[in-house]
Parts: sequence; C-alpha cells; structure tokens
Amino acid sequence: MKENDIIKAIGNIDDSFIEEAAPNGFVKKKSPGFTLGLMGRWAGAFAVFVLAAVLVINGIRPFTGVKKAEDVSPDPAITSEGTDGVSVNAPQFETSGKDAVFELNGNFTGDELALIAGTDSSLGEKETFLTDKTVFVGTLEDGTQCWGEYEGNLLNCLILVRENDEIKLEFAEPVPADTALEIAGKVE
Amino acid sequence: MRKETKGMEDSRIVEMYWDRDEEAIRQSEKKYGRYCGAIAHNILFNRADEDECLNDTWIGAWNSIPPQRPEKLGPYLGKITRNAALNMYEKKHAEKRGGGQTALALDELAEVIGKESDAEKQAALADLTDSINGFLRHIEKDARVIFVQRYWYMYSVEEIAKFNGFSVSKVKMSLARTREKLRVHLEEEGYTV
Repeated sequence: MKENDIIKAIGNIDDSFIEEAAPNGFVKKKSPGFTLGLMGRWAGAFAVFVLAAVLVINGIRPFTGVKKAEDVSPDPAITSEGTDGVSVNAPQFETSGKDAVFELNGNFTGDELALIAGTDSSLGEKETFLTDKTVFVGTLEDGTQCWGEYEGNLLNCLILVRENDEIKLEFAEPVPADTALEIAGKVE
Repeated sequence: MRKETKGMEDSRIVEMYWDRDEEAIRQSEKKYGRYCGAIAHNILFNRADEDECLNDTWIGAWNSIPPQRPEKLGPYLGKITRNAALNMYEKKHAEKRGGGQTALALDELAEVIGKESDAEKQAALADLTDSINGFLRHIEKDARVIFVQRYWYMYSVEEIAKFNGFSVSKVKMSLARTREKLRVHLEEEGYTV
C-alpha cells in the first residue's frame, strides 16, 4: 500500500467526520509574499468596493433597503461573542455619511475574533443591511489592509489582526442602527 | 463556535442541479466557495491553481449531480475539491521531478508487470476507506478531529493547535498516537503498511 492510497482513501471518509472537524470560519492560511494572485484579489475587492459606492450614489439605495446617512443612529453597541477568551474593548462605532466608518479599538487576546455589532434589541437577529457581494476593506495600524465580502445575511469575512492591533473598517454603505453585523476573523 | 455562511438550503441547490439549472453552480459557489477555497489552498498554496481547482469543483458537481443526490453538499463539494487539488498537486510534482518523464516511465513499466484496472483500484480504495471509517468511529473525538483536520483538510499542526485551543506538542503527540493506532488497525485488517 502506498501513501497515496491512504491519502485518497481518507478523502472519502464519512461526511460526518468532515463536518465535525471543519475549523471555525474555514480560515485560510496566509500566502507567503505578495503574489500576483493576491494583487488580483485586492484589485477585485477594490473595484467592487468602488462600484458599490457608485451604485448607492446613483440611487440604487431604495432597492437595497439601505437608509440615508441622516437616518442612521450613531454609536450602536459592539459586543463580542465568545471564542477562546476573546476580549474586545470596542464599545461603539461611529457612522458618518455614506461611507460609514466602523472603528474597533480592541485588545484581542484570543485566537479568533467574533463580533456582533448593532443595537441591543437587534443583536442576534442578523438582519441584512448591505447589498449582496458588498465589499469592505479595513486597515490595520501598520497599514496592512484587510478585506471581506458580505454574503447572504452574514458578514463572514477574513480579517487579519494581531494582538492589540487597531482595526478600522470602512464600509461602502451606511450602517443602519437596527441591524446586526457579524464579523468572523482570526488573529495571525 | 462554528460559523457557516448562510445561504440557500442544500436540498434546494441539489434540486437545481437535478433540474439542470445553472443557478445551482452560483449558489454552490456563494455558499461553499470559501470552504472549498480553503481546502484547495491548503493543498496547492497557489492562487491560480486554487482558482482552477475551484472551477473543477463546480464542473465536477454539475457532472455528478445527477445521478448523485448528496444530503450534505458541503462535504460533497469539499471531497471534489480535495480530489481535484490532490490530482493537480501530483501532476505538478511529477512535472517538477523530470518534465513528467518519471511518471511516464513508471506508467510504462507498470504495463509490463500488469496494472490493476480502475475498477479494481476503486474497489480497493473503497475497502480501505471503510476500514479507516471504522477506525475513526472508535477513537476519541479530539483525536479524530485533529486527525481529520491534518489529513483531510491538510491544516498545519500549528493551525490545528489554534483551532482547538491545544498546544502544538499535544497535537503532534495526538497525531503520532493516532497514526500508530491506525497502522496497527490496518495490519490487523490484512493491509501491508
């Protein structure tokens, strides 16, 4: 029996074992270096980000359910949903204009970061507030950028942060007060 | 805490495949693109290859459903991705070893000594999978999760330690013990390891 046989045989094990072992958030490894593929991904993310902003400006807002800036209540709460001793000190975020700025000043002490933002009454409801495939980008203190895509009714994204990093995520569209937001990330 | 990207129900997506509705591919990509992407990434570690592998996954799903009707679409697509990625990995490494000549030469020699048919190979692999399933059912959950994360998902020992809140040494120890138990199990079942 060759090692290939074992690897291939393991490939067809019961689905229940595969599901059981699925890591949280299906986190990817970071690729070494700055590859062309990564550049392409960044370019794509930026392009969709710009497109989303333009669509909002051009009046698609009524069809997306996104409210105007003046409808947005400031300072919704942010709470962390516990994974592995995550501790986040990010009591509020601010919204301003069409480019709502979501700012976390967190102390990340765990391996994973899972946050839910929104008003207390809406936490856990996970209502949608961004259009499908809206892209957001974030910048860490050292200039490292992160990005994510909003899909379905969960914002399930990849955020690269280190302990005690400050994350600043700029959204393409306003964040209404009565919505919930979930971010899944991983401390690198 | 387990996180899944919410989307259309698996059963609805599978129905779309059966109805030959191409929306099934878009919905599969939307719901499981990131999951399958992580699997491809862990094996290939090359963006272009990963993208090609994901395309193969959607095509593979389109070609196999019907006749298949998977109850759990995630693992089903994951298996297609994993197989495609491993095939791509083997092919790339064969090319690196000698412009594909080593693999070709071995194939030519295999014809001389007689080659197992594909059907025989598949049957042998299915038997081996059954044996491994039986083994996994009877080991502790932590050991099983670590084993599958390492040898199915191909995550590094360090990542597995992070996912589960274990030390790296604990993960290494668990893997070593499980491998040894698997070796004994397979020998008992008549496999030459």
